[in-house]
Amino acid sequence: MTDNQAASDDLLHSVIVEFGGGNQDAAIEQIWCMHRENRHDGGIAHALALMLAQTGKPGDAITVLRRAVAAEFLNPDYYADLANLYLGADDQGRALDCIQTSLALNPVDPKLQKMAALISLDDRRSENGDWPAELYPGGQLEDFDADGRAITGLLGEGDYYQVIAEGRRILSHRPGDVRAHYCLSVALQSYNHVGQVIGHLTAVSKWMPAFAGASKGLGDFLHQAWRLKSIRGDFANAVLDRRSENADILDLSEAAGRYRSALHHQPEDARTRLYYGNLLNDMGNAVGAIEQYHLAARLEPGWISAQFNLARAMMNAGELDHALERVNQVIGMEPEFREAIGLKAKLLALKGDPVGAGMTHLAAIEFEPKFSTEVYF
Amino acid sequence: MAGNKLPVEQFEIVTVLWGARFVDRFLSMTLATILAPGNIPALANDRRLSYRIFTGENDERRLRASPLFQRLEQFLPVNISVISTRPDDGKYRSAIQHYIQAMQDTRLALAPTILLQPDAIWADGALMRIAELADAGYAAIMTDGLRVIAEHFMPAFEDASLKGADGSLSIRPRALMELAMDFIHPYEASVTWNSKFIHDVPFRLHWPVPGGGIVTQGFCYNPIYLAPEKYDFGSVKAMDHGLVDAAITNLDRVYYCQDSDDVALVSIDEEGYSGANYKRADRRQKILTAASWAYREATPENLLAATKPVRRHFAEIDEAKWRRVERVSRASMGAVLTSRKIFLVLSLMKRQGLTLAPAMLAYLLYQGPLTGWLRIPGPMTVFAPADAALEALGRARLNDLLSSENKAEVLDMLAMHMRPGHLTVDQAAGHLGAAKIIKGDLEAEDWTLHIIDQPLVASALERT
Repeated sequence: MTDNQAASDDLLHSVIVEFGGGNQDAAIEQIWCMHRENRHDGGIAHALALMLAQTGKPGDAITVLRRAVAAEFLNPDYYADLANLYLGADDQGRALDCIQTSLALNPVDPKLQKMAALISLDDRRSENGDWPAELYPGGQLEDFDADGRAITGLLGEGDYYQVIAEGRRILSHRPGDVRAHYCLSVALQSYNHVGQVIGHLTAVSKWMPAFAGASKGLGDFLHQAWRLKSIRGDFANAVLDRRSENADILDLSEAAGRYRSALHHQPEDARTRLYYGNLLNDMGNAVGAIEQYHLAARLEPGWISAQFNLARAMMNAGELDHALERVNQVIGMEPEFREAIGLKAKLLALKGDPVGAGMTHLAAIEFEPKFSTEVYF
Repeated sequence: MAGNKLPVEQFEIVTVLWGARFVDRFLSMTLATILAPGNIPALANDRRLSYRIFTGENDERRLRASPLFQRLEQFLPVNISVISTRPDDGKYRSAIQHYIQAMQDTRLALAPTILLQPDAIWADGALMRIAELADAGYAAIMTDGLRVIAEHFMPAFEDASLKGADGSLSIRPRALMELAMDFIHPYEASVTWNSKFIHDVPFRLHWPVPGGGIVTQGFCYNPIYLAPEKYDFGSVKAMDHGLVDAAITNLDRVYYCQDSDDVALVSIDEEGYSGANYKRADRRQKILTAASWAYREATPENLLAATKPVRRHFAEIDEAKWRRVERVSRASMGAVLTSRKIFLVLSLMKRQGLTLAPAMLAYLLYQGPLTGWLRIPGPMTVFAPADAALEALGRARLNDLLSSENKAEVLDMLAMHMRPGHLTVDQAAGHLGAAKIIKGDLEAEDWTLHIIDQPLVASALERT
């Protein structure tokens, strides 16, 4: 633990004590400040959410607790608390997803099992024929905590080769272990094994439906796999006189469903909005894409990819002035962003200024010709 | 081909690899295929061979424990040099340093080097073909493996190859090419001319030959054999661009494998390797992306390589069909190389302080009809009007001239301002009418730039 982290933890503890001592408004004010300064600290967000819930602000509490869950997505307690808030808001669907997710991470918690029984998780299982009766059947829970600590520790150290070995070992005796599936998906991602990553993320998403990051990641990889297959499909059509299994085109609707699932649980995630917008573009839904880009840009105004994609979508929709204004903002934020410069040049040409377009192209000639990885072309 | 015709008696094979993943690949793929009967066993029959491997300490143990490695040692002495590696070492940069070290170490012994990359699969007979070409006097042999998706390719490869009792794997060139095209990596597919996508490092392009082949024209091939004529390795950046320029004086002694029947190999990668870097692109964008890459990266050897079509195929393809596709490939690569030259000239114009003439040329290149028009292989003379001369015409007139309705007019104007061949200031004077050269004989490789005081198609430009 760093000195800063220790100081932050001490401060958080003192604020919680202050809240417990009855000085609720001052405590909430202080912890809001801490949260604004560090939105990705799960502990602060969690504490703030609980305080908001106790002071009669369940809507705000849910919003903040979603941030805690996004920051510490393997923490079963956060999902359990979020489930409680959803139940209070009469949102049984999300509550069930959170309980299911929490149980996958902490299957022996009697409190969770009781909650599950109370809101008829078993009924839901029976409605979904593809749900196995148990995630960890037949006494698979021996060493459950130790295995979790080991593999997440290796992942934290970035030792992906060992993560893969350890993950496979865990899955050999506990095939549904969501932590192993998750860690394997990260490690294999670094090795570019698209198909295997999709397999592990599918398992994670199935058993952790409230883990939006897994659904979003699965959407990303299914979209990427579609793109890679499309590229290979073009090649096979042109070169081979026969069908190539390697080039069968995938259906994008599953990826779209994964993004929608992620957004159901994290509606304020700008990245998911942007990537979903990119997918909608490939599905031919330009109107849906521009809506997602608008939302992404509103959620993270300083994120140039969101601004760029929105500008591009505006150009396609014929909103040239708005698009130009936005792309100028993007170039202001990152002057060597080649794709933005190219877009500006196109806009200038469309507005009847080809000389200005040429000057804009000229400005980019010396810049590194790398594609940005998040913008939609 | 000029050169000594004496058989090369001795070769040193060099491989650089570290890390469990690459060691696994090397053992299961590369080593298994170079132990095929037509590779190391045949070569060891009549040549003196040695093998030097640069690898990490743990990796050495894994290598030595492998039965295939022990089989290798029955044919030739293997010298392992343990290197220290860190996870963040750039693999290409590190590999090139050790290949260079190996060549410098064998300088006195006059043993040429076979550079064997650890993630390639070699067709049976490839190494004997290298020896034949070395005997013919070539100082460098260039080729590159068609990239395939490891996880899809390997099971099919193991089924299709002939297994030796010693664990070796033998496959004929065309069978290897058929598998490669069936399990083509998205990178290769994306740089194919008909693809709707492009990669941001398009250092080669493919043109499909329906029925089982492709024509490749690319800037970067890997040297698989080098007999250095010089040792100017100081500024080499990577295997595939720079090493040959550093080692070879006479580029006529560089052999480019022009047919996969000659030397066939594939290189393997994971499906998602650099997967985020594919973007939708039309053919103009493909040309400009390739030209932009070449403008920044290409060495003289790369530019020479790009002019040489390579045929890769698994089917027997009619010669006329090859030639039809090669006409397209040459024309398209001509557009890439010409666009690269235009980038050079635009850069030169910018350095000379010009704004309007390069802006107009850049617009025509990126959004106008220029890409389809210019495929000029040789020298060119460019006349660029000074800013003052164009400003005098007014921005509205310049914009009007560049509009799509005036395509024929603008191409006429270009033809006046860009003349094939090299014209010096004195030679150019006779073509300029009333215009005068303000600053001349500026060079961008074999293109010449003269800055002039008025446009050469004044009548067209002045029309309202």
